[in-house]
Amino acid sequence: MTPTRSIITAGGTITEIVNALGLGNEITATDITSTYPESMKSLPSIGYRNHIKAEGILSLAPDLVLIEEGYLNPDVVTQLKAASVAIHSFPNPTSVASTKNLVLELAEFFDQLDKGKAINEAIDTDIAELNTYLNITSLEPHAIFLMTRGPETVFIAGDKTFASEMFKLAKIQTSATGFDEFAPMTPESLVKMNPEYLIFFESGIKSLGGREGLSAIQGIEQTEAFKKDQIVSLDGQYLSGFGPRVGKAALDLAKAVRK
Amino acid sequence: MLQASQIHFCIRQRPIVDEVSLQLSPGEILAVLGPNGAGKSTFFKILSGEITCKHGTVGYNGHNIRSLKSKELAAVRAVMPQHSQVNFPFTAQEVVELGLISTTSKNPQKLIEEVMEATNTIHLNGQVFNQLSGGEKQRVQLARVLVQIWESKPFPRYLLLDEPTSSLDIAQQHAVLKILQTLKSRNIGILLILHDLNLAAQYADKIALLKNGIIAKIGKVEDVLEEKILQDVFDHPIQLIKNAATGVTHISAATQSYSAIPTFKLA
Amino acid sequence: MIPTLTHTKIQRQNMTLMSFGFVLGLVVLTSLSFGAFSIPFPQTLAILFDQMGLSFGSYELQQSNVLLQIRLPRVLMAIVVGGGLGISGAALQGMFRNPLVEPGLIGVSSGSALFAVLFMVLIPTATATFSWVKLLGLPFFAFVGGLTCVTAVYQLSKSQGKIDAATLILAGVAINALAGSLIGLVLFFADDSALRSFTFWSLGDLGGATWAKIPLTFLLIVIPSILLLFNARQLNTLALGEQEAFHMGVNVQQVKIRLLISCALIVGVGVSMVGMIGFVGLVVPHLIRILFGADHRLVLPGSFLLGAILLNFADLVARLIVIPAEMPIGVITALIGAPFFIWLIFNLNKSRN
Repeated sequence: MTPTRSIITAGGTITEIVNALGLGNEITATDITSTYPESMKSLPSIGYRNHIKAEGILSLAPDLVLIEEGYLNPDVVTQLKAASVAIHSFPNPTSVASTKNLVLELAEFFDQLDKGKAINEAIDTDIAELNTYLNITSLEPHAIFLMTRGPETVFIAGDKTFASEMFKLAKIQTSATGFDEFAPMTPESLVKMNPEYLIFFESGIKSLGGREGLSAIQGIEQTEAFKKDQIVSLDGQYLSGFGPRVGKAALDLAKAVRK
Repeated sequence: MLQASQIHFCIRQRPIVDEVSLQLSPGEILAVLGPNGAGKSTFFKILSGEITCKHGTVGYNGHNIRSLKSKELAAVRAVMPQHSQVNFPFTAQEVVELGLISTTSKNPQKLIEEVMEATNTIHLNGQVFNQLSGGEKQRVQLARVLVQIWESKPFPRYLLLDEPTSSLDIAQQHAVLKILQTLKSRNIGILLILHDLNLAAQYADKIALLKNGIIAKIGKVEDVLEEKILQDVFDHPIQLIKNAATGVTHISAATQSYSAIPTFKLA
Repeated sequence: MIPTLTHTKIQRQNMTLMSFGFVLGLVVLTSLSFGAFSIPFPQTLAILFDQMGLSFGSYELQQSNVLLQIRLPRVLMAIVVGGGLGISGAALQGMFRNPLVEPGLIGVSSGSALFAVLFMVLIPTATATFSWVKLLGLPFFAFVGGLTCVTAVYQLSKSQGKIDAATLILAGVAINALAGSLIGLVLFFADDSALRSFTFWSLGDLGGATWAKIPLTFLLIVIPSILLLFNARQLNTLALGEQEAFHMGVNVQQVKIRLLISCALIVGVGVSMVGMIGFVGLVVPHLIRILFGADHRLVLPGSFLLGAILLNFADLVARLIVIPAEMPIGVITALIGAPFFIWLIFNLNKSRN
C-alpha cells in the first residue's frame, strides 16, 4: 500500500523511533545522522544541523517534519513555520528514562500508544538482561570515550555526555574530567588517565584510517588500552542515540570491556 | 587687517614661538623668512587657526580668531598647503570645485572659471589631478584655495601660503608669485613663508625675519635687506649685489667673512 | 565655458543611478526566481503580481510560501546588507584617504562579530527568539563593538594629524587577529548551539533571514546611509586631508564622528544579522570610481546600489552551486573580491613607478 503522507525526520533517534512505530515507509528524507535502519541511508539527505536550509526541505514537499530540539537553526524553523510546514520538535533523550518518554511522546503523536508501550517494554527487557549480566561479573573496568575526526581532532567526553551516561549503565569506571561537554584531549592527560579500555565511534576509527592509524594519536601508545589492544568501537547512532536499542547498546558495551 | 599680537607657544616648556607680533594689511604681500627651526611653521599654523596658543591673540579684521566659527574663518582666510596628497582620481576641475564648500556663491560656475583663468589652469580641467606636473598641481591647488576668498566682499580677506614654491622650477615659481601679485588689487592680504631670499625681495612688499621664535626684523623690503641683519639671522655671510643693469638687488651667500663678525678664524 | 556642476551633470548622475536601480531590479527578480525549490517563472510573476493586487495567473500555495516567506526576506536582506557594505566601504575609504580600506580589513566587521557573540552569551538564549531585548540588543552590541574597533584602529594609525597607510593596515590586522581569537574563545567555552557556528560569523550566511528581522535591519542601515549621503561633499574635502578640510571651514571632528558612527552602525547591524561578509566594501566603491570618477556625491549612492546588486548575485550563486546544500556566501565574495584586490595592489604599484 503506498503511503499517503511523507515525513522528513532530523535526528537519528527520531528516525529510529518513527520507524519502530511502523511508520518507516512514510519517511521520505532524513539527515545524515539517521543511519538506522539501513534503509534510511539510501533516502535523500537534507544535510546536517545548522547547515540545513529551509528551501532544501521544502523542495522535498513533506507533509510533516519531525526534528530533535535544537537540531535546526531556529531561523530555519521560523521560515518553515511561515511557509505553513507542519514542523514539530522533540526533546533529545540523554538517558534511558528520557528515551522511554520520547517513545511515548512520539507514539502519542502518531496515535500508536500501544506500539510505543511495546517498544518501552522491549527496552525494559534489554535493561533487565544487562543488569543480569552485570550481576554476574564483578569487574568494573576503567575506560574513556574519545571522539575523533582525524588524528589532530581528538575530543574526550565530559561528565554530562551520552558517554558518561552509557558508562554508568554498563558499570564502567571513568575519569572525571571537570567539564560537562566534549573538550579537546591533551596527550598528557590521556597518559595520566591511562584507561584500560578506549571506546570510539566506528566513524572515528575510520577517520584515523583504521585501527592501524590509532598510534597517530599523541600519547595513546602509553596507555594500557593501546598496549593490550583493548580498543572498542561501536556504531555512532547505536552507542549515542538513546533510541529503542539503548539497552542492547549498553549490554554490548558492557560485554566489550569485560572480555 | 590680520593682526598677531605677542604670540607665545611652547612645546614641553621649550618656546617655539617666543614673542611674535605682526600685522598684515590687505593689498600687501608679507614674506616670512628664517632659518630652519625658527618657528615659522608653528607660527603659520597659529595664524591659520590650526593650532591655538595660550598666550597672545590672533585677530582677523578685528575679530579674535577664537570667536570665529570655522565657516566664518574660512570666509576670511584661505590656506595653501605645502604639499597635498590626493589619493582618489579627482579631475583638476573637481579639485578646484572642492573649494565651493567654503563659500555661498550665487554664481559658482563663473567663480570657478575666474579662478582657473587667473591661475592659468583652465586647459587642465578634465585631467586627473594626480597625473599633473608639480607646477600644475600647485596652480590647481591655488585655484581651489582662491575660490574661498575670490569674490568681492565688504571686508578684506587673507591668503596664507606655506612655502608655495619649494618644489617648483624657476618658471613655475615666478608664475605662482606673479599670480599672487595680481591678488593684491582684490582687497586680499598675502602672507607667505619663503626660503628663497631673492624671490622674497622681488615679490614681497614687506619681509619678516624670524629667528629662534622672535622677529629679528620686520619692515619694508629695502629696510630689512641689510647684510648685517641677514647674517645674524641666517648665521652665514651674506653679500648684497646690486645689478646695475636692472637695478635689482641680489642676495647671495658670501664666501668671505666680514671683519665685523667675530670669528675664530683669520682670513 | 567650462562644464561645472550644471544641470546636465546632475542629470547624467541621476541617469546613472537610475540605471543601477534598474539592474538591481533585474537581479532581484532573478534571485527570486531561482533556488533549491523550483518555481517556474510564470508562477513567480503570478505570485508577485498578486501581492500588488493584480491577477496574472495561478500558482500553488507552497510556491508562494517559499517565494514570499523564504526567498523574499532573504533577497531584501541581501539588498540592505550589500548596499550597506558598499556605501560604508566607500565612506571609510574616503575618511581614511585610502582606496584599499574596507570594513573587514580595518576591524569593524570582526569587532562587531565579537560583541554580537558576547551579547549572545550574556543574554540567555532560552528566551523566545524575538523578545525585543534580543532583537534590539544584538545589533546595538554589534554597533558598539564595530565602533570601538574602528576608533582603536583610527587612533593607532594617526600620527601628526595624518593617517599612515602602513600603520593603518597593521592596526587592522592586529585588531582583526585579536577579535577573531576572542570570538573563537567565546564560542569554544559556550556550548549553546544557538550561538551559531564559527563559519557563520567568519563566512556569513543569509539563510537565516526572516520577516521579523527585516524592518529593524532596514531602519538601522538605511538611516545612517542617508546620513552618509548628506556628508558626501565633506567626504570630498576630506580626501585632500584633514587640515585642508579644516581650512575650508569644514568641521572635521564632527564629520569624522558622523562617518565613524554611521559606518559602525551599518556594518555592525549587517554583521549581527548575517555574519562577516568580506570584499564587498572594497570592490564596489572601486568599480564605481573607475566607471564614474571620485566624486562622493555619485560614489556613495552608486556603491549602495552596486553593493546590493553584488551581494544578491553572490547569494544566488551560493544557493545554486551545490543544491540542496549551500556554499557560505563569504567564499563567493572572496573568490570574486580577492583576485580583484590583488589586481588593485598591482596597479597601485604600477602607478607609483
